[in-house]
Amino acid sequence: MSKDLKERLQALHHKADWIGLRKVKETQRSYLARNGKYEHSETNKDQGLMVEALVDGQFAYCGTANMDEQALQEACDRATHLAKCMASQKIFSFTTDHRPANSGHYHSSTNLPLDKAMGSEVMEVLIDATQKMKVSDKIINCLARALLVEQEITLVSSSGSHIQQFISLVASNLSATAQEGTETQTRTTGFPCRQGGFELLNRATFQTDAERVGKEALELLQAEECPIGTYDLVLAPDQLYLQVHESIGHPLELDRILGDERNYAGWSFVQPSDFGQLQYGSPLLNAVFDPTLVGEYASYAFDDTGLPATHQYLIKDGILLRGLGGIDSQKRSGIPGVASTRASSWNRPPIDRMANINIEPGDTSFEDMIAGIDRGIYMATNSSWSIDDYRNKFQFGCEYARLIENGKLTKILKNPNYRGATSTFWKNLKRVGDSSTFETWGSSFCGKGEPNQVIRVGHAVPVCLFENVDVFGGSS
Amino acid sequence: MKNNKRQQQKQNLKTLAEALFQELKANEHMTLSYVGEESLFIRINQAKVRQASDISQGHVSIDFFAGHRHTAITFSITGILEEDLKQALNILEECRKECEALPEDPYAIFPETGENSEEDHEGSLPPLETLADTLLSPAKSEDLVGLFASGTLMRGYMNSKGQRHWFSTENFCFDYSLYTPSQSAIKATYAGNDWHEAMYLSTLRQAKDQLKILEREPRKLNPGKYRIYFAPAAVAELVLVFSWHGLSGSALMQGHSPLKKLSTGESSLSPLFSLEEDFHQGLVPRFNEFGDVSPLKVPLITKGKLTSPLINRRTAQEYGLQSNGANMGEMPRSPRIHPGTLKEEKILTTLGTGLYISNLHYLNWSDLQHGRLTGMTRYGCFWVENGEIVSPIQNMRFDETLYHFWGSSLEDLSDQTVLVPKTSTYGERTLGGLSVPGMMVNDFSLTF
Repeated sequence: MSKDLKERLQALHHKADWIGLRKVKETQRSYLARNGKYEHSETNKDQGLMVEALVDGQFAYCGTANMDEQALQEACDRATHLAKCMASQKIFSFTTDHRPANSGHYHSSTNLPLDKAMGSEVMEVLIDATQKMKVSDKIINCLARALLVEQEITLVSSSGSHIQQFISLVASNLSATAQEGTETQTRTTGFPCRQGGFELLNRATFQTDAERVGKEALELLQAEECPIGTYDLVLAPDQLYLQVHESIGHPLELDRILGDERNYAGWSFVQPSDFGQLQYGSPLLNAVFDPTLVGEYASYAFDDTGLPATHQYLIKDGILLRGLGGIDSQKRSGIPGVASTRASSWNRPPIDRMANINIEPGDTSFEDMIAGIDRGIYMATNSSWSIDDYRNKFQFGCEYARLIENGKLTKILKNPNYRGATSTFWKNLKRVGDSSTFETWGSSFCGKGEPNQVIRVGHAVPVCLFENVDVFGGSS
Repeated sequence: MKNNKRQQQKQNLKTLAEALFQELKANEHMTLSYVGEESLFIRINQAKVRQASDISQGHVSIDFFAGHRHTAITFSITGILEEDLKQALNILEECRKECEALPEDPYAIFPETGENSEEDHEGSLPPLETLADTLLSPAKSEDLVGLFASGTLMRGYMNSKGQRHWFSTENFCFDYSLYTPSQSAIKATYAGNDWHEAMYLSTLRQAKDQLKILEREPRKLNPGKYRIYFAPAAVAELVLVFSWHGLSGSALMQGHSPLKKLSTGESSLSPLFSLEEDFHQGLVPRFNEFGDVSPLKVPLITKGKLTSPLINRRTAQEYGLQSNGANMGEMPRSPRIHPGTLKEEKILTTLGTGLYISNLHYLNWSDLQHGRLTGMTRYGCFWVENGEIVSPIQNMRFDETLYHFWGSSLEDLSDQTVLVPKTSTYGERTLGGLSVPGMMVNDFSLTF
């Protein structure tokens, strides 16, 4: 790899109508401590290159970890040959217009670059946190983990694109399990994840969080079971982000709506004719695709087809406006989309994915929200999720809940769950928390596509109140 | 992938490992694992090609031990020995540097001597040049959506104590769905080592026949308890999610297992239910990341009693247990549920009135401590009355504990197990499958 990728593209001999090269280099370091001791440390260094070729209206791909000149030429030949072999059965005739030329770069904002972070320093913070979690002998297992990722994506194409993006990510998780008799309860910090550097692994924050989850795990041992019934439901950001992910993000993916996902993740209840007119939620609902939010987990400047990424409303004042689909799906469907064609790595073709899908804050403080509820339940931190293949009927479980009685948070409740249908749930959105309740979350594990791909997504959301939700607790 | 290329890859890996092992100092040990593939993927929608990709990749994982300090680095290899060797030597130095400052690993699993193994399974795959027509021309009148994947999969393991394992196979899997205009669907899979067009056409014909019944008006069910026959693909989904924490020895010890009540005798499962690891079919390697070779059979639950969870050497060392060759995640690699007595031709009459569930979707624990699972029905699921299929059903959510459906309410299992191939392609194509029968269950809770 001595030559610049652009020069290497120009040196290729090919008969394709268009060629793109996407090189991905990623270093992922993960550390795990348990019960005051080292548990595991692992580094994954992956790099390779995907050749994308357009021949007779069909895109095809060839991925290789061998990037010498001969191997790159062979990969180019194989992608071209594969596209030619598939072209007679293509679903859509793409043209070079579907890969416009763009140039630019992006770099995550960091204070302390991750390549300077010592594994021993990370492990020390984690071991310390597991010790802080053990606030009682009833705490039988304490886990602390951290994930540090640096990714570099270079994209060049025969139409003149040249894009470089450097992404730096940190994710972590603290987990305390308490046991007494036959009762076992686990409380965690969820999986906080941000773009940034080593500054995100702040020892003082870890210590505070560690003590909190240890204490709350103990509290859950003594807690009442979450009641069964229809309640006002207040969702904390560390649960609401996944509700947004599953019941707004996925159903709006244009490749789902076009049917590409039907054999795996499923279809969508959203129809192509719904864009511009469907009342998706109450007028308080404003959902955005925002890859520009500094520090959010899936911020970037360009997607993997080279399309510039900008802030866009998906749902405004409750009305569905735009889908989550990149240029290929926009051309196939005629539906407005966003720059969201992304691949999990060099070894997978890009498909429609979420990036940062956020709910804009409203104007209700947390205190006012609770004060306005006579009979409700507050739930925090996701523990379970499931939704049907049309992204309508869902069920979620949380780690921790509080009963709301006459405008006050009262008893702690264990094993809280709720279920509903997307089509009615968002219409029952009654209050949206203000910017003081707005938190940035996300996930490292969004699975989709055939062949399967796991990708990182971000969701920044406020606390929200929903009316008339079916809730229930655990039982055998 | 040509056999000589596979043999070359095997030899390259051996050379790479030996060169690294020679560099080790007196207190250092190392294991080296390899996962590689050359795969073709064709993504299909509406019986047309959406995307096609051709992927060559290989990753080497080094587990490095310096005294009781341990770290692991995985890196992608190019297949060019000189380049990979140079990179591997740099990685070795990185491992040394990382280990210098890390605390000791209290339960480090050092490499050991042991048996060696070598398996290569040849296959016969359809030619690329005519593949799109072969797959899609017979389905041109159908709304077919799915993924065809084929090629060579390789796994290797070597350690500084001299242990060697190698496994490769050449196979294919066409995992697809057929949809009706009213959006009902049937799932079908044709997988194996040797492609036979006649067999593909036969599975496609069967799926088309099944599709006809879905054209009837679907029945909307009320929440409640139902008598249900779960076809093998649906049972496989239950086993897959159960494998997530369900059978792990460390999860049991650390309070994250649904089997706690089974292990203490507080709850029980049906004497009809037996689950084991069974490597007889040779679809997956028996060796794990530690180089341990699993017994051909590992009984896990026998006649409703917990025989043993899956225990790897690390868990065994920490808790003073006996390892049964489990992998790092203590998840079953080749699970098999014992069959029962229900004959295929008697399924509907034995069901009488109730539901025939062919598949389940998006399962998750809704209450891990009580072994409760939630998920959705999916694909061809039918309302049956007096032993006759009446209509398809609208999708329903279930929420039920395994102590119920594999316990007191398990009436029988079908007398034949079916191999349900694993179709996961996250990172790389997955090997193997689940051998499961269908099962008849009473009073199963559908909620919404």
